[in-house]
Amino acid sequence: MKRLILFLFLSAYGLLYAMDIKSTLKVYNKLFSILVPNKQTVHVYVDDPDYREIFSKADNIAFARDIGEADFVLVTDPSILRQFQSWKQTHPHTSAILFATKYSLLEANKDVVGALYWRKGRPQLLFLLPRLKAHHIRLPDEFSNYAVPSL
Amino acid sequence: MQMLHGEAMDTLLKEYKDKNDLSQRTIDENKGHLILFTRDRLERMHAKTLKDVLKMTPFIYYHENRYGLPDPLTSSLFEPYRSNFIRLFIDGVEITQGWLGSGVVLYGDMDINFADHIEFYYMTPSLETSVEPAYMTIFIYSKEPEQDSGTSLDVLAGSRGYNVQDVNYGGKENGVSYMLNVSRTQEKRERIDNGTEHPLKRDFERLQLMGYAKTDTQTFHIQLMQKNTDALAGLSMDATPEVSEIDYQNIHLDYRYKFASYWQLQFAYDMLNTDIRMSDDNPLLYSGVLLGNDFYGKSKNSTYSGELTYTRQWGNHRIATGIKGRIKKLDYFKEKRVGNVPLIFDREDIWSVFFQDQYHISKNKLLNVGVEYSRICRNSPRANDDDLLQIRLGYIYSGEKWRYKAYLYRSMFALDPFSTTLNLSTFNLHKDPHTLQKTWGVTQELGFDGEHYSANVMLFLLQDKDGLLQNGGDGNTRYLTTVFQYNYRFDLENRMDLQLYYANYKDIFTLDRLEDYSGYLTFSNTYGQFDFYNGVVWHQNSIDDKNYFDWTSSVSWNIHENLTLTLKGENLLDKAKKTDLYRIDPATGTLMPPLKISPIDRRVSIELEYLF
Repeated sequence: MKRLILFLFLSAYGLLYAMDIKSTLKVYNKLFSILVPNKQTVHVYVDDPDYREIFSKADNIAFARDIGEADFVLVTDPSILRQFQSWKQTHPHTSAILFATKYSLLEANKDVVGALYWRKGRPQLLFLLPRLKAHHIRLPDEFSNYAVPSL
Repeated sequence: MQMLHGEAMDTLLKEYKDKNDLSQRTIDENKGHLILFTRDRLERMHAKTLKDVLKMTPFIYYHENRYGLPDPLTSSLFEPYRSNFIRLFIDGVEITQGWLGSGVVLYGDMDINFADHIEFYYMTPSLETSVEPAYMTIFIYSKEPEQDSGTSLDVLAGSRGYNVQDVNYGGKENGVSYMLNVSRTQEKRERIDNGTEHPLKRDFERLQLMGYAKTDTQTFHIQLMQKNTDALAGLSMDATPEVSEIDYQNIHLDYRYKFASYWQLQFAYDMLNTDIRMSDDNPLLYSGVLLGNDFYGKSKNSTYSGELTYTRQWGNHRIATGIKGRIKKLDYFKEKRVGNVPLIFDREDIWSVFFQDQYHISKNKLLNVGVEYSRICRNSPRANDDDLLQIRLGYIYSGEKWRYKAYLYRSMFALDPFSTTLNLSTFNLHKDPHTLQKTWGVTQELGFDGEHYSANVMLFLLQDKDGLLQNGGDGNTRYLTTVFQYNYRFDLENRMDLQLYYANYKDIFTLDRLEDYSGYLTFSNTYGQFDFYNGVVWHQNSIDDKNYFDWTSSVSWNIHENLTLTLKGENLLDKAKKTDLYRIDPATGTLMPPLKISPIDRRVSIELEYLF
């Protein structure tokens, strides 16, 4: 069946890159289960149209209208970090989990707990233990290879 | 979408990697038999040039001609080049040199730091993409900002003063993806002893720029290259030139527009300037056609390509049809003292129309029928027009684990303008410059995907009639080639790749039979912050039954997420495959013992990559 999808897919593609919906959702659902546990519906704040397209296919994800409504903020570019900083100034006790799609964004702000990004053709998953601890999040053992104490 | 918390993260990441690899976006199972080098694999190999990849690609591998240029099908005799039948595409648009054949001769050793992945397809792939017929088609696809945004800086230094500097910058804003890559290469290569005090040189300096900007419906692409070369033996008959240098300047521009859901319009422009400086104490090759002991010439040629295609899904049929045109124009070819050099024609137009139907018999079986008619027009009464007919029938089965493909090809090839013009009939390159080659091929491929491994075997049966690439013989060559590939993935970071190749040719050149064996074995491993790569490419053929080994080894230290230091050794045993370079004794006109030259230099290099 997957090959049939490939046949048909090629007839309809545009010129820009598009992510695979199913495998991307699987990974993010796994991350939600660790970072925002016990939530039937995860409220995600995301600006990037590609990720919005992907998350719109999931039953357990709702889009947050602003950062204050979000359980999970997906940081895809520096403007999201600026929005968060601005929000934090007026709401210092915000509990939203920030997660990045680029290493540079993980480096740029100490509120970002982890990142899933690409490096030289390989996906990299990275969590910062002290930042997780600030949110009282403890990673299961299977994530031990993806957690570091500092950058 | 169901939540799947039970699956291990490692498993999910492996699937995420496989499904989101950029190659999944561009691979077209319907194009035929594929050899794929993914980004991960290119990075692990530390492949910096297309040459690093071509040397592992069966059927053609990597060879250089007497001008020190990439020319995998070279006979090492006296033709200007031979690899017109290997076509090179970047981001889906062909790079061509017009009067100097396909893009392979200039771009066959190009810097590929801009590339994400490379696909090799045997024979003419989908008729949607090809303008001229091919034995092999190479598709290079650029990095995308989704996986490579920001800037990367790469500096490299190696044996004999070899050095490269490369900058890559990419991003995406307001629905526009863009990338710019600039590289400068100072290639210092091994000298070739020719029995004189002045060994042959093949050093070069290259400045290369590649850039694109694209939206979901439009793409603009630019490629520039300035390459100043020491041209090895060049036009010297006995490979003892006093001067042998050629400089190349190339511009490629293309624009693609998808509109009204089913239509695509595409234009491309290629321009090549050459500045040739040759001198010898004996008459040069072509001295009867051109001049005596010196040749200082300049040429410019331009190629204009355009195509309009219509692609639509009707029920189980995916129909593609369209028209294509290409104009190759020799703007000038002049020599310093005599001015314009007369040629029998200076323009070649190729007009094609094609129709292709991919019919889904069932959800995992597909039939493919394609026909293309081309007319080649030349502006000279002495150069005939040609009519070419390509036919392609295919069947594909794609199950969850098993894959099978079978194709029947009928291809026709015409000799390119430059080879026709510089026809050294005394060396029996071909019988008649206007003969058309017909090649019939039956090809099959069977593959299996296991949990941690995949295996693939290809079997090709081909027959050339009136072959254009002859060294003696009648050009009616039959050949059987097989490729076996196996890869095993220990985990996300560690893998092994094996390839074995066997070819059996009957009636090729002046030989009744020729057997060719080759293969490679590579290991990619990661331990902590270190990546290791070890690979051996092996060659042997029945002409001398000698084994050649090209061992490449590298270790990368990922000092920081943004900083990597790599030590790499190539052809460490100094036993890589060698190519004969034929020579003629000017005094007697007889063939001298050929020089044996490896196109792969023995080299150690150190590389620093910084991402910011």
